[in-house]
This record gives sequence, C-alpha cells and structure tokens, in this order.
Amino acid sequence: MHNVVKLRPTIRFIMKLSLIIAVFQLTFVGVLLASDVWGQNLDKLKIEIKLNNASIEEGLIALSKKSGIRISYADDMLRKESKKITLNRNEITAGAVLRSILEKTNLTYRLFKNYIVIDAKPVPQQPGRITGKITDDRGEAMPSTTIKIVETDQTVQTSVDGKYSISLKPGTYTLEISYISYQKQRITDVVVKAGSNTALDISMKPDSKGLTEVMITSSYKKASVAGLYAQQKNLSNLSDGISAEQIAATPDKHVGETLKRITGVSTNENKKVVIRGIAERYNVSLLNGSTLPSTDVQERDFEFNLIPTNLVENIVVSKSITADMPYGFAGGLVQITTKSVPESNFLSISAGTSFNTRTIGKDFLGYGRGKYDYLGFDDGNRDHFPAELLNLVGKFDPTKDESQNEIKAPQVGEQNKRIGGTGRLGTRSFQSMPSQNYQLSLGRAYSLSEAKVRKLGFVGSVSYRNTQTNDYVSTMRRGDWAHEPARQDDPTDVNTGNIYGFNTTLGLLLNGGLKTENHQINTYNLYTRIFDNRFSRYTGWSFETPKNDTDTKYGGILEDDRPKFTDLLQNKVSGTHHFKSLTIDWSLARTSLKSLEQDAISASQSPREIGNRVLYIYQPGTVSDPGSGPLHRDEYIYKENNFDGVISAAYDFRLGKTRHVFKTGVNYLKKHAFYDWEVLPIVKGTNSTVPVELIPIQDWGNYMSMENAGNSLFYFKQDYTSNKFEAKSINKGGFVMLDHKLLPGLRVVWGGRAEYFKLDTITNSASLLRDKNSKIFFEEKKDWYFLPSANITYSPLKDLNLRASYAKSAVRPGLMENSRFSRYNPNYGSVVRSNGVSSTLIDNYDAKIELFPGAGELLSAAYFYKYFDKPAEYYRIDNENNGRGYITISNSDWAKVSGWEFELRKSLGFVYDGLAFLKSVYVSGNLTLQKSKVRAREVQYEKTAAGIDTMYYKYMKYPRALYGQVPVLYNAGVQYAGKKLGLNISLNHSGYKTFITGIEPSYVEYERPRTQMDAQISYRFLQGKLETKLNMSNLLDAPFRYFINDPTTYELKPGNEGKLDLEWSDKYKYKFGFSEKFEEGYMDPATNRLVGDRQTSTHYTGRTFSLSISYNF
Amino acid sequence: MIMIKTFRIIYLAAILPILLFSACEKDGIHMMPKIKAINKEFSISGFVVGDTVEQYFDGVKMRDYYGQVRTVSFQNQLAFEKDEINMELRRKSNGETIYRQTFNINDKQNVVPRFYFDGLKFNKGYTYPDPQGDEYTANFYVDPAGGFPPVDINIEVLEYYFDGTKPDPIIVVNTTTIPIAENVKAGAWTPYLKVQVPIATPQQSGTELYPIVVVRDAKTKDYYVNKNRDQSTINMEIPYDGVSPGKVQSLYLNKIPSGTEKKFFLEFYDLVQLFPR
Repeated sequence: MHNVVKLRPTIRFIMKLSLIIAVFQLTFVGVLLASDVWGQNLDKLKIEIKLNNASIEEGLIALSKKSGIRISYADDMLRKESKKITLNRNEITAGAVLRSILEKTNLTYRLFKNYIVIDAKPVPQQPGRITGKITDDRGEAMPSTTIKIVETDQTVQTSVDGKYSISLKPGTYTLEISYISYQKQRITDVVVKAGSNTALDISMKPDSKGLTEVMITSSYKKASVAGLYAQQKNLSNLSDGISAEQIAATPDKHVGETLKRITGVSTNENKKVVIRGIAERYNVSLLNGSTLPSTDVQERDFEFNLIPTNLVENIVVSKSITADMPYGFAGGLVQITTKSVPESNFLSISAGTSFNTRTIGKDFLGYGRGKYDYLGFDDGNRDHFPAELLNLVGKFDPTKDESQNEIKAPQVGEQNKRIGGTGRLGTRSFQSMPSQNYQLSLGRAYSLSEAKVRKLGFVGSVSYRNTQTNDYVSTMRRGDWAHEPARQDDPTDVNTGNIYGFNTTLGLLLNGGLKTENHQINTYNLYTRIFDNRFSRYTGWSFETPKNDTDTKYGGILEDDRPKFTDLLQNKVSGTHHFKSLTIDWSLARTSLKSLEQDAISASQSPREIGNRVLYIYQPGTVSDPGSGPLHRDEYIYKENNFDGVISAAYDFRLGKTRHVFKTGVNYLKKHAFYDWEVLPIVKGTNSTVPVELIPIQDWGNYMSMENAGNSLFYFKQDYTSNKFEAKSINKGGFVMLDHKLLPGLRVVWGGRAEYFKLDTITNSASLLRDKNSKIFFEEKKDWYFLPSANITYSPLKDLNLRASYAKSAVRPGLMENSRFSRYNPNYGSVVRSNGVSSTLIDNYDAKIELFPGAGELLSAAYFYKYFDKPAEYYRIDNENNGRGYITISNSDWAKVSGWEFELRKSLGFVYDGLAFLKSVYVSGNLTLQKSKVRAREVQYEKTAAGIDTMYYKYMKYPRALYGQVPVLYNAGVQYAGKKLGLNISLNHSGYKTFITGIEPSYVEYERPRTQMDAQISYRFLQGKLETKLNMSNLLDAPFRYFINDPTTYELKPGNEGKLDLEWSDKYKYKFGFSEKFEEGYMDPATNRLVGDRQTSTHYTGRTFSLSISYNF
Repeated sequence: MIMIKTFRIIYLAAILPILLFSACEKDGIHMMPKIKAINKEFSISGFVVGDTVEQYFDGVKMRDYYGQVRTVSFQNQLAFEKDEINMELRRKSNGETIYRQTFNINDKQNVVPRFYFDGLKFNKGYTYPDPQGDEYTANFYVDPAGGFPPVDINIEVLEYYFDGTKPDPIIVVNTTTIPIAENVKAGAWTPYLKVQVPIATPQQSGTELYPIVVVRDAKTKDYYVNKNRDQSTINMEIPYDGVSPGKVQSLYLNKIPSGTEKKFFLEFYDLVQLFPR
C-alpha cells in the first residue's frame, strides 16, 4: 500500500465531508490534542532528505517515504504551483522539510491524526471601492470637497474635476460629504463588495440659510438616483450626452457607433454627423475641445471610428449655444472627451472580426496593391511622382519633327522612366477578407500622497483595424451617365457598379495628467494613420453615347482608384485651476493632418465586340486632349496645420441669497492649409499605331522609351493639371458670460461673444483649363461679428425642467471650400468644384420641456427655430446647358428651419413588479420633425459699359427645402442591460433628404427614406472580465436610394409656351399623380417611354455581422 | 501566473494579424487576360430560319443568329488567349449543338463555311433549282416570329403621273393586280411559283406605268406593313417581256417591330443572292 494518498476532486469532497464529521466526533473525544502531539513530533522527527529541483509533489512523496507520515493532498491544487525545491540535508526535522517545501506557495498544512493534510491558503479579502463625482446645483464639478467614511474615520477630498475614489474593505458604510456654504449630506447603506466598484455621484445643495449644522440624510439608493437626476437637470444648455458608464453598457467599439445613440443624432456611414436633421456642414465635432479636421478634402467628414469607446470619458452633444463655446454651429456641437487620469488601473485587450454579406465570398477588385497595405503603409509601389517634371504642353508633340519640338523625345523618354512603369494599373481580382480589429489599452493611476489628492495617471491605447467593403451600385444614372435606358423594355440597359473599400487604420492614443484638489493639468495626444483605398468601377452607357444594337451594344467601364494615406496628429495641453472663487481654464493644441493620395488612377475601358469575345480596351489620351484625358495617374497632397488656444476665467460670487458666476475668456484658432496636385495623363500621338488592344495596360510602361516617338506612349504633363492651393484662416474671439442662480429653481445664463474671422487664399490655382480665366468671388461682409446668447432654465417641480434659449452663431467656410480646384467624383458622375463660400450667420431659438420620471428615464419635447443668413448648399449647376452640369457649393440668400424634437426613455419596470428583469429593460425613442424654407439665388455676371466685370444675384421667388435637411427622423430601440447579458435592438429611420439642390427639379437630387435596423448581443464571462459582443448592423440590407423628379412628371402650365425667364413654378406644374416625392410612374403606351422619376443612384452596403472579444485584466 | 497569461494573450493578439496578412495577396488575378494574337480574317455567313442559333466560343455565349448571318465590323477578328478557339452553334430551343469548328492561332484565315439552318437541320448551303429557259420562278418564306396572318404577294402595276406641287408628288390613278402567291402561310417555304410578266394598259393619257411587288394581308387585303403600300413593297426582280434570261429567287420576308411606336418594317432577303453558286 502506498502511503501517499492522491485525491480526485470527488473523493476530495467525500474527504471534506468525512473530515467535518470526524472533526465533529473528535471534538468530543479530545483527540484535537493529538495534532499538537503530532505537530510536536513533526519537529522532533529527524530525517535525511535529498531533493534536486524537485516539484512539490516529489518533495512531499520523498518526505512521506522518509518520515512514514501519510500526506494527503489534491492533485490539481499542487499542479497550480510551479515551485522547484532543492534541499540536501542529512539531519533535519520533518517539520522543517515540510515548511521549506510549502514556503512561498499558496499552500499550508494541517495535521489530522497521523495524516498531514495539504490545503490551499485562504485568499485574502480584496478591498472594494466607492467612486463618483460631486457636482453643485448647476452641474459644475466641486473640487476640494471632503468625503468622510463615518465608520472608519477615513477622509478623502475630491480632485479638481470633482471626482473622488475611496478604497475600503467590503462592508456597509455611511458617507458624509461637506463643503463650506453647502448643506452637509449623510448617505447611509453604501455597500462595498470585494473587488468591485460602487458608483455614487452626489449633487450638493447650497446652504442658503447660512446655518452650519444642516444635514441632509439619505440612503445610498436615493442619493445615487439624485446624482443621476442632477446630471441631467443641471446643465445650463440644451444638451444630450452619454457617459463612460453608459457607453460601457453598450456593445459599441468606437465613437461612430455610439453617436447614433444620442437623441437627434444620426451618422452617415459613421462619418458625417447629422444633428436634428441638419447637415454635417452645420455641426462641429471637437475631440478634447479641439476641432477635428476633415479627413476628406472636398467634403466635411471625420472618421469617428478612430476613437475607441473604452477611452471615452463622455460625449456631449450641445444643441444650444452659450457664449463660452468657441465654435459656431446650427445643428449641434459634438464634444468627445477622452480619459486622461483613470480612476483605477486597467489593461484590456480586444480582438474582433466582422463579415459583410455583400463582401465576403465575392471578388474584390482593385489595382495592384503594395506589400504593406495591410499595415497602412505604401511599399513604394505607388511612388510615381518625382520632382521637377517638364511641362510638355506646347513644347513636345510626337507627330512633329524633332527639330520643331522644344523638348526632345529622349528627354520625354527619360522623364517617363523617372515616373515609372504602369505595373500597378489594370483591374485585378483579390480574395475578400473579413474585417479584423485589435486593440490594447492601458490605464495607470498613481496616488502621490496618502492624505491629499495628488493623482498622476495616464491612459494609452494602440489599435489596428482592417476593413474591406464592397458596395454594390445597382443603378447609376447621375451626371455623365445615361439618364434613362435607350429602350424602356431593355432591362440590360442599366449602369451598375461597385465601390471597393480597403481601409487600414492604426491608432495611438496617449493621454496623461496630474490632478490635485485645485489644479489639474492634462495632455491629450492622438495619432492616427489611415490607409483608405476606394476603388470604384462602373459599367454602362454614358449620357453622350447611349446604348444601341450596333456600335454601343456593350457598356464601357469607368475605373477610379484612390489610395489615400492620412496622418493625423493632435497634441494638446489643458489645465484647470481653482483659487477660492476663481476658476481658470486654459488649453493649447496643435493638430496636423497630412493626407497623401498617391497614384490615384482614372481609367476607362471601351468595349469592342470582336468575333469571339468582347475586348475591353484601356484608352490612352491624345496630345490634343484639352484636359487630363481618359487615363491619368494623380497625386494629391493635402496638409493642414491648426493651432488653437483658449483661456477663460470664472468668478463665483453671491449677492444676498442669489449665486452668480462671471465668466470671461478669449480663444484663437489658426488654420493653414496646403493642397498640391499633380495629374499625369498617359497619352499617345495622334498617328500612333501602338496596338493598345493587344498590350495589357500593366505592360504599357514598356512602350514609353520614346525611341520611336511617333509610336510610343508617354506621360503628358500639363502645367495646369499640376498646381496648388494655399490658404489660411484666423478665427479669434472673446466672450463675457453671466450665470445667475436666482431662485432654487431658476437659472439664467447670458452673454455675448465678439468673433473675428478672416480667410486668405495665398495661392489658388485652377485645375481645369476652362477655369484658368475664371475668378472665385469670396464675399465676406465683415470680419467681426457680435454673437449674443441667453439660456433660461426653470424647474417649477423637482422632476420638471423648462428651458428656453436664444443664440446667434456663425458657421465658417472650410479652407478648401474657396479653392478653384475641381475634381471628378465617380460616385456623383460629375465634377465637384466651388463657387466661393462665405460665413453663415444663424439665429437659434430653442424651447424645451423635460420630465424625469425616474433614474435614467426621460421624457422631453423641444421646439426650435433657426434663421440662416447665407446658408451654404451643394448645388447642381448646368451653365453649359449640357444636361449634366457639375456640383458646386455656394451660398443661398436665407433659410428658415423649424422643428419639433421628442424623446422618451423609460424602464419597463412599471409594467409588472413580479418580473424583476423588466426593470433592466428600457425602451427609448426620439423623433425629430422639421421643415425648412430657402430663398435660393443665382449669380449673374455682367460687363458694365466701362468694360468692368460685375456680378449680381437673381433671387428665386419660390422657396424650397434646405440642402441636407431631413424632415422626419426617428430612432427607436429596446435595450436590456443585465449583469451578464445585454440585448439591444434599434431602428433608425430618416425621411426624404435633400442631397443636392438646384434651381429646377431636374437638377435637385433627393435621397429616399431609409430605415436601418441594428441589433447587438453581448455577454460577460469570468466575472465580467471577458466580454463578447455580436453586432448585427443593417439587418434589412436597406439600400441608399436617390432620385430626381424627371421632366416627364411635370408639364407646362397653359399659356406659358415659349416664354423665357420664368421660374420653374411659374412655368410648370406636376402632372396628376406626381409630386416632389418619389413616384415610380408608368409606361406611356403611346410613346413606350417611362413617365416617372429618375432613379439616379441606388446602392447596397450589405448586412454586417461582427464579433468581438475583449478581456480586462 | 497572471503576468504569463497576460503576455500569452498579448503575444497571440500580435501574432494573429501577422498570420492573416501573410495569407493576403499583393498582385491579384488580372481581369483582362493576355491576348496572344488577334486574327483579323475570321468570317461567318449563312441563313437561319425556324429557330434561333446561338454562337458559343469556348463555352461562352457570344450572340444569337436569326435570318441573315454575316460578319460585321470588328466581328471579323478572333482574339486568341490560347492557341485554339472552339466555336459551337447551338439551337436555342433545345440547346442541341448543330455545328462545331476549331480555329487555330496559326491559321491564316478562320472561315466558317456558309450554312443554312431551316430550324431543324444544319445544311452546308441553301439549295435551289436552276432557271428554266426565260422563266421567272420564286418561292417565299414569311417568318412566323410575330404569328402574323397569311399573306398575298402580288405584282401591282401603278399608273401614275407626277405633280411636284403636292406633298406626295406621285399621283396613282389606276392599279392593275397580277397575283404571284395567294394565302401564303408563315413558317414554311412555298413551292417555286411562276412570276408573270406584268402587263397593263394605261387608262389615261400623260401617265406612266410602274410595276411593284407588294405584300397584303390575305384576309383583309390591307397592305401588310403599317397598311402602307410603299412600306409593304418587296424589292424583287420581275420579268420584262422578251428581255430577261430567266431567274430563280428565294424570298425571305420578316415583319419586324421598329422603334418605340407600334410600327413595323419589312426585312427582306433573296437567299439565291446570299448563296451564289
């Protein structure tokens, strides 16, 4: 018989049970003494032992053999220990051996009869924590407030941001919060659990009676609910937001997803933010208080996907304006604040993957890739833009005799060689891969003092994401594409396409800070690298050459490849300082954006039906082309450097029983932008016989040596296609603001800003030959504006708020919005350019009623009215009268927008008390209804008698809807947030949206209503440490559908035949059954043509399923 | 222990993307294959009635043939990706392959021998009798594509005078009808029928006579195409007394919808001309 007993877990249980019984019996027979006896014996029994790098088990077996004592242990308990023992002694007590074996392990021993039982040491109890924020009756953070734990006499103070954190042994405590001239609060029944955090935000009330010993006592439950109320109620302006705690309850990975959860906010592909149905142009996004430059040159958008949610402290969307806000907006101001000093240490990693139903399993087309595309860097494959290229316009013509050319053929050949070959060109098919993302984030907090608040900390994150998308465009009838099929009964006469997106994003974030009771200094640093490659490929017939059965039986192919590398770096330092009643806030930030679009290629393929197949032949340009021709490779470099600084001071004072804050400050924002473009058309001479149909485009570089100039292909660099833009703007201002708390329920905040804005274009070259002689009119009436604002909040009842506000704001033009740069946008089928844009001034009026039925519950209704002076809108203009026109941005005369906004968030707990889980089910919804009117205008140019160019406006008599406006917008959702399981279903609907405006219906493009349904399931494992999330977005695969009211749907009003210069509404009316909305129409039997609206573009993005796993250490 | 676990997980998270990247391609597969050569002497000709013929190259359908088959514009070119191209002609109704031919990159010419497909059988050419003496004979095939009613085919001798002041300057005063074929049903060739020498006598002075061949609806006697004489005329040869050496004509007629409005035009071929001996 073996004297060492190994135990299986089941046997161990029986053992434990029998042990208890045995102990019970032995107690009565006094055998407990025996252990002492044995225990003493163990130290008397001398043995010889030799252990060399032995495991614990080996050690115990050896000890058992030498001493003859039976040792009982569980296998798995020993397996957790990795200790190795070396012990060689001739005479040592068994007790000493046992102790040295178990030393520095989680094991202990106990004696039972003649057994030694090995047990695991009891785990020491982990402390828990209470954390939260203390705010005053205006929602302002209260630094230096004392929190005392009554039971332990422990005290802590809040830091400058009003936050506190106390570490305590598990138990139930009473907290006492005090601050001079505020009523003391005592909160009972605060339960602290081992290893977990108890959140408790507290709102303090001023001690108006001046008595020192007033104490409010409430339970934890009551106080935490009150804290939540206070946050919602006490803001001076109309705002909605989402805090880190609320974000943590959602399955969102990045800010793009979270924004949609905020009332009245919707995002377009996580980039463009629409607030209250007002387009992205009138909304401002701030990251840690600094503006974010657009990641697209010709449109205003920002990749909100870049900011991971676990680093977000909060997101606040302000919809009304106070004088201390340095940036003007009309829809809303999105303020994203990232963490700087964490409340506790954390380390979390997450990995995720997603697949899209329209991407996975389909061919993924594109031009040649680089080796490091997955890492977000180019491998040199796209570097074809050497410096100092020769301008060949008028200096080289391959058809001319060499002696007549200023630049000779060998020079062109040498230049071609410097530019490089065409190996990257030509569409190829790749395997589409699921998207992948990884993130590591870390937070550390150090307390420098036991007694005082001296907190130092940092948070950092590294993230990587690669996403591949394939959007299917089922109809393309915009701009240059055929607007209708040549024969209505031909279903194959349709233009279709795909947009392939390959995106790699690297993000690095490092924030840190120091905070004390009265001071806080933070630094925020964000670096992102985005490689975004968008490859559009459309097949079909153009407006100029519609389909026929002979020479245009097959549609042509238009390709556009845009690989763009963007670096965004933002560094910021900010501080807050309290000196008794004075608070000073300051910040300094620099942001630089560099966006390098390298080797962007536009190409077209003409179909040629031969005997056995259709050959698609890439078309080179010719020297006689006036522009960049059908085939060109381009480089676009955009650099923007912003510097901004803000300083403000707030002074708190009392007048009798009323409390007031006087706030004043200045801000400064300088922007400097550079844009360089180089377009290199690939051409052949007019008489050239290079057999382009036989040579694959990737080999065209082999025909560029220019040894036989007449029969070569070459890069035809033109001066005007390679040029630049430089501009800078200065935006500075100062404000004075007063905040009065007049009665317990009445607060008035009012003030004014003086704001200066100046935009200067330093270099502004045209990018099209025909624009070389045109000018941009930039009409900024004045540099300084005075912008007053006032907000009143009145709470007649505890759960009710009434708010009203007025503010004037100015939305400034973007730097590139005044550039003479034009570029073809393949997805619009048109050239996009600018006619010059000036500032828009907006008068904002808001009123809101808020009701707070319970914690986290809200019911509100708001009305708003806005008057826009010179709103900037996207227009389609067709001055050349070619039926296609181009898209431009310019100012209309005025716009009036008014609307209602409703919000509901309610727990289902009231339905039935018997079902506890209903309390965790929330239904939420918000609805925005609005309408708008714009007085449009058209610029007219005239030469005076003296021969001077002048311009004036022709104003349109009939108002229409504002660009980007959405008349109906709603979100509805059901959310269940349990301890482990989370479920969320949401529906987002937006009604008709004006996509591009114009002076008559055949130019105005609308987006049809769209409803998107998303769902999320999340589950927490391992005590919440491991979290898995399954996101399902766009479950209905809702398409984006655009249309134009076709001329077939309206008719001349009688008596207007042949009249010129009439406005559309004077001249035409919609036919019976047609309106401005989308009507599919009918086939006219007489003409066999469609009478109905033109579906300009329909595209599908597919359903996306993503799975992510994150682990918190 | 926890540290080791942490590092393991970090290590895994770092290695996973690298594994995924290594599986990704850089060059892809080109959409347009390399063309070895283009032979510009490919031709195909023939005639198809009764069933549409589909033309396949290496298993990929290129086009449908019905009526006259000929090589138009760039269709005389064959692009060789490989050394050989296989062409198949299949019946559309049942997919049956009726003809196969392989073209080689080294052949100077790639010619499909002229064929006639009557809807059932693939024939190497269209056969017709020799002319007998100075007799004019013709057979007719009216295409059933539209399911049209039977037709009469007549020679009509128009007696007309010219008036330049009228919008239609040809004023017809009298018409003499000489039948060629009566009640011709669609979808089958008629026997060879004798075409008479048109004889008519002017009824008025100052007029001229002009013979045309027109198609009329056999029931209603209306002109066959758009109820319009000129649009229902067949451009076939008719004999002149004592001049002609004798002729055989095989006429294929097809009334085809034209454009968007409910109008038609008359497609017309003489197979004897398309299949010369």
